[in-house]
Amino acid sequence: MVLVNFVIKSVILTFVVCFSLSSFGSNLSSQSMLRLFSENYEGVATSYELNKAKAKKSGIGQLIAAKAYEELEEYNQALKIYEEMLGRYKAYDRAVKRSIHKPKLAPDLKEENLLAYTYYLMARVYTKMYLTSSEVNTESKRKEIKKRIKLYSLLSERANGPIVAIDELRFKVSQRDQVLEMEKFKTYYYAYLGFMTWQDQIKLVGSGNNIDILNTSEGSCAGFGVKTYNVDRLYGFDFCYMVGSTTSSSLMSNITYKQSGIATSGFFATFETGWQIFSDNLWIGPSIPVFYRQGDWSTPDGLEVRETSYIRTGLMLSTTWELGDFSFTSRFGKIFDNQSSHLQLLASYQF
Amino acid sequence: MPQTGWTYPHFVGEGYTSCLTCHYNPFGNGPLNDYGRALSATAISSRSFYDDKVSEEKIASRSGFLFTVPKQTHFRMASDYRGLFLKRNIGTGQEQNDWINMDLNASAVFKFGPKEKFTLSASLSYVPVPRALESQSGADQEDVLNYRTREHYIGYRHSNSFGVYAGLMDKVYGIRIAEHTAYSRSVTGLDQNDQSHGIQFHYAQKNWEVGVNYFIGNLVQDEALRQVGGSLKVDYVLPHKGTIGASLLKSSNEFAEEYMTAFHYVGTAGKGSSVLFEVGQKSSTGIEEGSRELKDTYGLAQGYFKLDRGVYFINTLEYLKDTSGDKRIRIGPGLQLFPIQRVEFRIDLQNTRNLSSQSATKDVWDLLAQVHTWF
Repeated sequence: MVLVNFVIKSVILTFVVCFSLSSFGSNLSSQSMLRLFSENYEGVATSYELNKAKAKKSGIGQLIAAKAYEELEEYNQALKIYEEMLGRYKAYDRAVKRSIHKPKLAPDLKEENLLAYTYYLMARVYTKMYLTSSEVNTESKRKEIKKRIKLYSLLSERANGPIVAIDELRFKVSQRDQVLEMEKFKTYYYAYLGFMTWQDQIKLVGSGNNIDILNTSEGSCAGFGVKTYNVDRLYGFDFCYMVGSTTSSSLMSNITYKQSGIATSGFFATFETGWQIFSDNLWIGPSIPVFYRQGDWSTPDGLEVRETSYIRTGLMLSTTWELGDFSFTSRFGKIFDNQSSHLQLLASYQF
Repeated sequence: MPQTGWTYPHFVGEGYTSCLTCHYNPFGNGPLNDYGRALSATAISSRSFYDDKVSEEKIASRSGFLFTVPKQTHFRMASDYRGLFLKRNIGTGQEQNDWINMDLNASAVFKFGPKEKFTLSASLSYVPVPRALESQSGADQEDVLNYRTREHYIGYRHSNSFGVYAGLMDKVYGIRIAEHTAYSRSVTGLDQNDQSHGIQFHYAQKNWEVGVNYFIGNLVQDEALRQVGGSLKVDYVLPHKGTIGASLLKSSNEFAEEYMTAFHYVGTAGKGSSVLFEVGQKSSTGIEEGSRELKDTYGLAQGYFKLDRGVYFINTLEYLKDTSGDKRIRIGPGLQLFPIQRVEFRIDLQNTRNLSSQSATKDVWDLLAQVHTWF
């Protein structure tokens, strides 16, 4: 009589735990049971380790211990126990595994059975591992875990496992894949044509006088760039050769000095970073330019022209609007030591 | 400097491609309809001053004239004011600070007839003496009308797709942006006081709109000065809700003929954010034999980015090239705030550079801070 009672209680408890652990069933008694087991996972794990030999004889004990390890995020321990549980159904396990590529060979299992739930629970543990960054620290490990999720999900399906719950696992994996894909940095190269304008100065020096000459310049530039980006962040570098034209005038009313059409050339290199704050085709962020320019100013008799060339850096705000393979960039800011703002407009084509 | 009543095409970023959604006038500007007022109170203005329990519907219901909910659909009134603090020539030692009452106006719209297909709209504005005339003689100043109507028209909306409007209106051309000092408005003669009497036809289908305008000049002007002519504007809505379009305008008076063309694009850049571009050219030729043709080419690029509800960052770039080949570039970041419905604050920093072959001149930096309120 005692034995019969024990068997009946075991069977009831087995189903209660199975349903609770696998998110099935919602009656109050199963939830209460789960809470009872959830109170002290470490205690459950320690107790299992101390009484492993005995516990292995009970599927319930193994289930509770595996669940405790899952909660403690000791996934490998949980998997080890589930592997041991599979050993209880060796024949069925082999039959189900044989049926992976031949569904017709699938054994005739009841709609709800522990083998199918064990496969599902293993798929679930692997899914939890997959979603935990520390468990998937290499690409090969990620692929391996994903393969196992796929395998145990399929085995659970073949063994009449919980289809909806399995699909949920697949959905979580697919969501994670999408996030990983978006987080992954991609690199592209591009060529561009641009326009730029700036204001700077040269100095006329002679007879102890320094005369400031204001230059207003505009130029065209052509260059290449590289960008690496993911869903959140962009880093880029580009370099262009510039040819321009400058008009110069003295800032002092008593000195007449005017030149126009002065040939100017140089390069403009930019390091930039950006964020997609407003939309997925708009990048905004700061950029640090390095600007070299030189010009062919004529020298009045008795005077010397200084600062006809320089290399300077600055700080700019860069906005890039992407339209397919084309993008349009505006950069506005200051080249340090220049007299006013620097504007650069670019049209790019990415390869 | 935005002028009352002009539309904000940037709100294409909210998913609206037709001006008629928010305005009585199908080409934008002028008084807002009930939906436009509700939209400005909800999607556009911040709700920071409202308790979380106040629903959007409740906020929208307070957007009517003097906070009222009209009991009829025939008659609507509106009034608004826009003032500007202008700090010119920053950093030159010749800074100037001015407060300018840009506009104070009242408008009324009357809808009548079967299915309210007829619209009668009129506005009356107080216009201050232009800064350029302030230092001139009293006689010159007296010539300036301090009160004027910038809009009065009657419209007949035959159907959602077709309408005809007659009276004093802004000409149908280009993107109607709020900044009346933008080159795309000042060069083209589409400034805040450049309305013209005429007739306008509006035809719209799902993905495109056409506007045709025949105008005879503002009848308040001397007859010899009135520009008489016509314009055409076509817009096509692209699959991603951006709009691409082109405009033509030809007109003449007793002294000159004008011909203008423009291409534009207004597109979304994320929810609530937008970008817009317009490039165009204006040719003017004197009627007298041997007159020289004057040609101005202009460009406008503006990004309008929603930082939060009621908070927008604006980045504007303008370009102008005149007949002599001299160029002007104006660039400026700005911040626009709608802290609560009926209130707008805007601050812009503008950097203007002359690219002339004659001489190099220092850049001009101006600060513009505006307050705009409407009831």
